[in-house]
Amino acid sequence: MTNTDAIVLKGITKRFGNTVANDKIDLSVKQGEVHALIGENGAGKSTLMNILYGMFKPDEGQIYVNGELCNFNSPRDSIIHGIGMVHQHFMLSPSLTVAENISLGHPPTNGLLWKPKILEEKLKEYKNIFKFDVSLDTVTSDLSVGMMQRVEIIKTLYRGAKVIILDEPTAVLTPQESDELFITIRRLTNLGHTVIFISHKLKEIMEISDSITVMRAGKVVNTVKKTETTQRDLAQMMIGRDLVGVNPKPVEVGKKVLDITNLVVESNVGKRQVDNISFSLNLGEILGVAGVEGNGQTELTEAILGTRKVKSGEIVMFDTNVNNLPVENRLRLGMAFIPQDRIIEGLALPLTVRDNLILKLRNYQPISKNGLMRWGEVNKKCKELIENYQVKVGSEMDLVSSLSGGNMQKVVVARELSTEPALVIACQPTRGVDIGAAEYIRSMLLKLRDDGNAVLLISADLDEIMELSDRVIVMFEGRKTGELLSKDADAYKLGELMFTVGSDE
Amino acid sequence: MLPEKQKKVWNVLGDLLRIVLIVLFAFVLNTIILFLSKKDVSLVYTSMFKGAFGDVYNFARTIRWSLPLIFTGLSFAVSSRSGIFNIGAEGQLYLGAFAAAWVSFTFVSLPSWLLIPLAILAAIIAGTLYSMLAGWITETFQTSIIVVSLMLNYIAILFTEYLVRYPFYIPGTLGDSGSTQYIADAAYLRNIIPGTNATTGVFIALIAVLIIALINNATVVGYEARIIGGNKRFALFSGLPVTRRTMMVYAISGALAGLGGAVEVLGVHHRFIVNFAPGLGFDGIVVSLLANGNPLLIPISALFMGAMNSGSITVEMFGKVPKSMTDILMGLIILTITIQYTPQFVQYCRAWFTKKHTKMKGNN
Repeated sequence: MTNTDAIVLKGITKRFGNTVANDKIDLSVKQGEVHALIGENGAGKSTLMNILYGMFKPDEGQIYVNGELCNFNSPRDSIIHGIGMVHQHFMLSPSLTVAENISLGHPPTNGLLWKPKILEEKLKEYKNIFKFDVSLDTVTSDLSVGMMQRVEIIKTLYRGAKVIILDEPTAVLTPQESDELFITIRRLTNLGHTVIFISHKLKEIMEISDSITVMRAGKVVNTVKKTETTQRDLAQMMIGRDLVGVNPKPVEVGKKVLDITNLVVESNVGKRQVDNISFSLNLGEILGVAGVEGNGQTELTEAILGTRKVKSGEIVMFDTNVNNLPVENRLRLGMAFIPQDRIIEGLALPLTVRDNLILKLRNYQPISKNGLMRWGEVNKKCKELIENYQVKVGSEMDLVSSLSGGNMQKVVVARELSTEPALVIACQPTRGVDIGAAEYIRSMLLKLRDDGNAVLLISADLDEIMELSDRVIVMFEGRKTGELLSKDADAYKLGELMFTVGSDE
Repeated sequence: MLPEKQKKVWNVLGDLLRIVLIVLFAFVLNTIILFLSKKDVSLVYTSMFKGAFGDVYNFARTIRWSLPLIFTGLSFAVSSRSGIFNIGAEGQLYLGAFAAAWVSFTFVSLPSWLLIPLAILAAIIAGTLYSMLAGWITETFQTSIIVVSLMLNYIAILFTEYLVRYPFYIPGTLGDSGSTQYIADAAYLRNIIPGTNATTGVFIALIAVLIIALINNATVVGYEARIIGGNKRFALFSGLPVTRRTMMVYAISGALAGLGGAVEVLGVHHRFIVNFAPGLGFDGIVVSLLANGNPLLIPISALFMGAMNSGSITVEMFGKVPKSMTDILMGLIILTITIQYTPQFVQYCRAWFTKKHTKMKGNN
């Protein structure tokens, strides 16, 4: 191992519109080390790595690779300079074989003819190093997630990568697969490769990395050696601000409307995403679910909605066990659901605002009668909703795709609240929404609570959680790591729970 | 209220204009081809027009060829509206045709007013069940509806041929020419133009068009089907009974195709002939795409396709151009429609439209 810097970034700034995603970032990564890059959602980690990988061009700043000033216009340029990236969502074609995926874009030829032997020879050494005992002719879709990730890593090596960026590599892995990944990473650094490791999970960062750079709000807070820091310090650096709950109303607990006991939910590939969670929610309160994204919140909410199967445990809603009820029946009990991704789950983009707005009321009079839609009434109702929720749209017959993100979200909220639900599951309700619309949506949630309804608020935005919730639970790796009243909560306490500081101490 | 009504009218007119533009564009390309191959362009087109609309008999032939396309076109329009690319209309049409033929050559003693509805009902049931089979396979095993419905077409076509050649084979009769016996006279659909194949099937087709338009635009289930087509995951998250609605769409789509088969048998062939309708299912897809899936415009786009079919005969006789020119024309139309769906083109049009739209708003 030498002590030369493999990568040096100087004064990198990247703006998207008015937001500064990266603000004068300086970062140096030594050759042969595992360098962890950590920070909250939206801290600018991914942007920075995409710049290093040539996906984005920085507005300001320089990139040096092995001391040489580089100008990357596309990933092709960065690959030539020995940088490889393994994305969180794999860039593999599932129907191709392992060999085809690895050599995609860089075919094994002797300049003229297709020579699969060259590929096999080259890959033989990797196979030994990484214990990759899979035939190159295996179709990729038959591999496990961990194996696919190894194919991705081998792909970067085959293209000559010396520096490998791993974007939240453990997010999709089971604990055993994570352990194997760490062994792989160690083998890579032993061979002189450099690894940049993006993660939220302090425990594994302390396990695998040599140096750690903490980012917050587009800036580098600090770079420290692992031996000179603790999980607690890191968590404080990541949160780095005082959050104050501004929710003034004392909790007046009403009837229990959602009761979850020992809930276990698995991902599509059988990974345990919600691990034995219990909590309850009463009328007249907002329960915040804090936690870094990807710690089981999505699976939890989908299980409550009914689009995901419960493995074990119970979900009781309005005194009804809903474990085996379809979504339809659960909604009829008085639940509404604001999904986390309005484009994928919350709207039908090819259709009109009207079609999107009236869906939940379609079986109510006077919107429909005897199975027939009454479009006159529909239009009247749509105009009313558009006005009440201040949706900026020319006419309800406009396509919903022509709206801005904030107004799309208002359409979602207006529709979900149109049935006057007593229980609202709000998942990331203000994500990607302009400040005005976000404030408006938050005030709607508070008003719901003040009117005596129950809100389950899932948000990766700690400020939002602190501002709205009466009570907060924290999720980490599918488990509930804490539950506290928001008047007892502060940023550090939540941060420690979110990153489970000291879970191994 | 008025502006919305106006907008609706404009939407229909816009779709109509779209049909005209696509056809016009295809004809321009076709003219270039004719011109390059040194054909008499005006002679070709006049003979084509005469063949399609020249006199009452030609017009009747145009109607005869348009009719089945209305049914298969509707069938495809219904399913594609819910995002289901069901290309199984052909197979469903064959089964429907055979079911109608079987009823009407088996229950020969029944009177017309009972026999015809019974035959039609049998055809609808056959088409519905076969389409739901495709739907069941697709939804249960999460396979591709395109592949499933395409393969089921072959099974249906060959199965009906088997029925004709084995269980329903009567030696020394029509069986040897690959068809069943003739159906009872009572099952014949009446001609609306004497001495031609233009039958009361026209009214059945128009009723079907109206019913589908009504389901699409006026009912809650039709609205739900549109939402499912707009975003299936959104529909699931909104608690729509997605599987039930999807199966309903398969059923309606198959019923329409089966009905088309009945109209062919009762109106034109009066027996089931092996392999009698090659391509009707696929031409129906073109009809639906041309009409942008709007049921009210499907008769118009079907009429156009029927006219091309009908005119192709005279093109060959008098226009000195092979009949296959209509195939070229058809190909050009499909090509033109396809261009519309390429992302770049859509983006370009959208940008142009929004620019215009905002300008209009600015003027307000």
